[in-house]
Amino acid sequence: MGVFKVDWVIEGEVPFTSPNCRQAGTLHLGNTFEEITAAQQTTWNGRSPEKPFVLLAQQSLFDSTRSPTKDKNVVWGYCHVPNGSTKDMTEAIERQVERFAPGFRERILAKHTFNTLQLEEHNPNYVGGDINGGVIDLAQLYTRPALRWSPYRTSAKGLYICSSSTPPGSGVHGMCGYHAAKRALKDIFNIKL
Amino acid sequence: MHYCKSLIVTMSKTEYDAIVVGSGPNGLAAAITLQKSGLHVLLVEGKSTIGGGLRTAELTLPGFKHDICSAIHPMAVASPFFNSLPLEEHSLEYIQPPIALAHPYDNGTSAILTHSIEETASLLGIDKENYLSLIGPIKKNFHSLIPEILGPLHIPKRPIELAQFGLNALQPATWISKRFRTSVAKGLWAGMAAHSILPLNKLTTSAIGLVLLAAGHSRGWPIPKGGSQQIANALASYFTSLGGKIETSFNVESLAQLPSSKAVLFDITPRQLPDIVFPPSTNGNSKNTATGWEFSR
Ligand SMILES: Cc1cc2nc3c(=O)[nH]c(=O)nc-3n(C[C@H](O)[C@H](O)[C@H](O)COP(=O)(O)OP(=O)(O)OC[C@H]3O[C@@H](n4cnc5c(N)ncnc54)[C@H](O)[C@@H]3O)c2cc1C
Ligand SMILES: Cc1cc2nc3c(=O)[nH]c(=O)nc-3n(C[C@H](O)[C@H](O)[C@H](O)COP(=O)(O)OP(=O)(O)OC[C@H]3O[C@@H](n4cnc5c(N)ncnc54)[C@H](O)[C@@H]3O)c2cc1C
Repeated sequence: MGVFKVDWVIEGEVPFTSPNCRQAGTLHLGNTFEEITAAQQTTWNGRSPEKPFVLLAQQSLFDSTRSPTKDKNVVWGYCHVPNGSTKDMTEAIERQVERFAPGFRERILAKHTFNTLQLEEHNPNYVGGDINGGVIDLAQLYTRPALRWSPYRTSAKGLYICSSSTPPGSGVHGMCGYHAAKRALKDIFNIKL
Repeated sequence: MHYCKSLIVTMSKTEYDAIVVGSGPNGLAAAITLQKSGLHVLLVEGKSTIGGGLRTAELTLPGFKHDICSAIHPMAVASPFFNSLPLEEHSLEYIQPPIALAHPYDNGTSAILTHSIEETASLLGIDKENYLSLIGPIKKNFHSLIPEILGPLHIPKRPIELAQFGLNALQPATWISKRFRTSVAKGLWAGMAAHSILPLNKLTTSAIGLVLLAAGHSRGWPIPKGGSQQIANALASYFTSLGGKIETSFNVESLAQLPSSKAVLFDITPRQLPDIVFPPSTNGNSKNTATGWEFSR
C-alpha cells in the first residue's frame, strides 16, 4: 500500500471540538470501527476511500522549534491509498479533519502534498509508491525478503539486505539494521555480538 | 615488484571493511553496529541529505519544519538498539505530548491514549476491564517482550510472555474487537490496528495495534525536538564520532561504483537490488539465472 501525504501551515491551532484532541500529539480520524475497517478494505481492494482513515500529527504545539511564530502551526497528515495511486486525496483528507475540527480549512495558510509517485522520487525505497517494501503477511513476517535461512543474507556472499523489508519490518527502530549487521559480522568477520 | 603489486591489490581490497548503502534508520543502525565492532565502515546515501524516512524539511513556508515521512516515535524509544546508544549526547531530545493519541468521534467525545493505562481504560466505560486485561499484561512485560518482538526468528528467551502476547497478536483485529462492547473502545482499537497496511480481518494486524497501545503506556509516543531529522543526525553524529565515514549524493546504480570492501549492506528493498548487482548496461537479462540469485518477488 502507499500513502498520500499532506503538510499544512495553519493560523492558530486545529479547532477540534473535543478538548482532548488539542492536547494530543497524534490523532486517528476515522470515527467508528466499521468506518475504519471499510476504508482499509476499500484501499486494499485497489480503490481510494471517500472517508479515508487519516493519521494527523501536530508537532509544533509541543515543539516550538518547528514554527517561527507561536500563532502559526505545522500539521502533518496522511491516509493509505493503493500502490502507485496518483489520486489527489487532499480534499478527502481535509474533509475528515473538518469533520472533527470545524473551521480547519479556513485556517490553512500553506500546504504541500505528496502522492505515491512523488514519495518514490523522494525515497527510491517506496518502489511503485509501496511504502512497506512488501506486505507484512503472516507467512512473510519472518521470511521476507525471500525464503532462505537468514532473511538478511542474499545468495551472493558478502551482500546483505538491512532495510525494513527484513524482520521486524517497518517503523523507525533500527532493529533490521542491527540484526543484519550482526549477521554480517558473524559470517564475514567472525565477530559474534 | 611482484610482491608490491599484490600488496597494493590487497590494500585496495581492504579500503573499507564494510559499506552500507542508504542512510535510513536501518542503514544508520547497521553502520553503527559494524563500526562499533571495530570495522572501518563507509555509509553512502543517494540523496543530498541523510535520514531516509527520517527527513525533516521546510516544505511550505520558510522556517516551518515538516516531517516528510515519520513523525511519531513509539518504536524508536522502545528500540533496544537505539536505547543502547548515547544519543542524548548527540543532541537528541524527545518531547512527550500530554496525550499520546486522541481518537475523536462524531458526537464530540474522544478516546485517548496516555501514559496511564488506568486513565485510558477509565474513559472506555464498561470496556474498562476488557482493556486492562488485554493490554495490562503486555504493558507489564513490555521491556522484556520488546527485544523478542523486534527480533528475527530465534528461540525466545521469554517463551511464556511471548506466547501470551502471541495468542492475541496472531488474531485478526476484527476478532479482538469482539472483546469490546462499546463503540468507543472498538474505534480506538480499529485506529491502532489500521497502522498495519493489511485489512483488519487479516492475521498479524493485531500485533501492531497491541504493540502501539502498550508502547503508549510504557515509553510513550514522543516527537523529537526539531523534527525526525534529529534522530538521523544524532545517529550520524555518533557514527562519525566512532570514526565512520558518510558520503551523500552518492546514488548507487552498480556495485562497480563502490570502493572495495568485504561486505555490502543495502538499506533498500529486494526489488531494487537486482539492477544494482546486475546493472542493465553490463548484463541485459541474465538476472536470477547466471549466478543463482534468488528473488522471490
Ligand atoms: C508518510 C510516512 C509516514 C511514516 N510515519 C512513521 C511514523 O510516524 N513512525 C514510524 O515509526 N514510522 C513511520 N513511517 C515508516 C518509516 O519511515 C520507515 O519504516 C523507515 O524509514 C524505514 O527505514 P529504512 O532504514 O528501512 O529505510 P528508509 O528510511 O526508506 O531509508 C532508505 C534510504 O536509502 C536511500 N537509498 C535508496 N536507494 C539508494 C541507492 N541506490 N543508493 C544510495 N542510497 C539509496 C534512500 O534515499 C533512503 O535515504 C512512515 C513512513 C511514511 C512513508
Ligand atoms: C503515528 C504513526 C504513524 C506511522 N506511520 C507509518 C507508515 O506510514 N508506514 C509505516 O510503514 N509505518 C508507520 N508507522 C510505524 C508502524 O506503526 C510500524 O510499522 C508498526 O508498529 C509495525 O511495527 P513492527 O513491524 O515492528 O511490528 P508488526 O509487524 O506489526 O508486528 C509486531 C511484532 O509482533 C510479532 N509477531 C507478529 N506476528 C508474529 C508471529 N507469527 N509470531 C511471533 N511474533 C509475531 C513480530 O515480532 C512483530 O515484529 C507509524 C507509527 C506511528 C506511531
